[in-house]
Amino acid sequence: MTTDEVVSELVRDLKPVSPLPAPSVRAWTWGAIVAVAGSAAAAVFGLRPDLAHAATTLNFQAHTTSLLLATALASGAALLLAIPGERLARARQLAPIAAAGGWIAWLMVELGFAVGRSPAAWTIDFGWGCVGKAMTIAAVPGVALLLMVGRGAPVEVRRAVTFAALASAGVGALGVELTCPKTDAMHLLIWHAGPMVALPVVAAVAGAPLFVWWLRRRQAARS
Amino acid sequence: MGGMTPAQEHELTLLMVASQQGDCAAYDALLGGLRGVVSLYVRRRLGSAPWGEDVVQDVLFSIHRARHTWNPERPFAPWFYAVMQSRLVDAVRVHKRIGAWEEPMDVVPPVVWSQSPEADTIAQADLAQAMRQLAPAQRLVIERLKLAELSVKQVAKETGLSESNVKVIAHRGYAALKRLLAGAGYDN
Repeated sequence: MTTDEVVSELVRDLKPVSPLPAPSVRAWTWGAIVAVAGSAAAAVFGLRPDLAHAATTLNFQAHTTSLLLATALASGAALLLAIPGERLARARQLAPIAAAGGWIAWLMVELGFAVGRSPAAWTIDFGWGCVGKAMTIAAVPGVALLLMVGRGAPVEVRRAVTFAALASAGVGALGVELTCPKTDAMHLLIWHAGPMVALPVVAAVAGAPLFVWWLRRRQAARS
Repeated sequence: MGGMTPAQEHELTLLMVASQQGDCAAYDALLGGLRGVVSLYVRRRLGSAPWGEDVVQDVLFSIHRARHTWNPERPFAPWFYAVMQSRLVDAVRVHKRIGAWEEPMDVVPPVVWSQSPEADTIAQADLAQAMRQLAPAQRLVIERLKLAELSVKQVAKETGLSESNVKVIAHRGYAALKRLLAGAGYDN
């Protein structure tokens, strides 16, 4: 096919399009999806019984603030990267990672203090239930965010998918923070923070090629 | 970034706004304008690589598919260059990968020979006719290898292709040439 033929075909195929809303507007839309999915998760799993008391503690406030920041910044970054030509400054790229890292660092300090009080704090309990819960809570917001990224035209796919995974993992971790009554640092570090680290890593390694495959398949189906 | 003047960008921005609203004439003009910019950009980066035109077409397809992602309140050039750059990088990556996996193979052109000067002239005319029917990349590589008598390395340097890619294109060109000449009644 010659380039002249390509141009003619594209002109023939032209349909009016509505420009995508700004990434900030889309981030709020995603926030609304998270709120609905989070409410549904709270109804299914139930909030932790000591939530009112926990909310007054510095540890809980530090955890939720870091997680909210990481989630909001990562989702904003993913949606910004879905638009060609939008530059994500280095500071904006590092901010969600720093927020998530801040939470993990806080947990490590908590663990350090706990071990200082009693060596039993090293004990690792069985917390796969929390991992499952985090993944379940993160699923709908995660899929929604990936669809929103895919609705754009991400140029740096791996980075966009990794940030989307970090944002989704943040929702999962927040959800578990609100539903799991356990407060021992080792449990939080392994079973709450573990998925928050693992999900973006898996997304960066395996998620990006899958996402590209899905984008190509969708394009092929449309054309 | 080069390639697009402010006046051009302004004009293309207006055309893009109209294109998003479904104006076919504006879109035709937009693609016509962008095509020139893309061709120049691709030529500057790939030289005369035979797959350069494929990249130009790929960029135009990508612009078509991504046209809803451009916000009319934002400048057009960064959006356009990001799409173009991304396609170019993808294309180079794909061609490098293909080049890396392709096995070098012996390049043996078909022999067209005869026993009389008249028959030679006819054979040359048939060969020229067959050459015209080859894909542009195959024709270019065979011409540079056999008529200009350049080495595979020189052709690779000239076209921006890898050496193994040049060999593969030449090999396929010779096979196509053989088929065409066999169809014209030549045994070998």
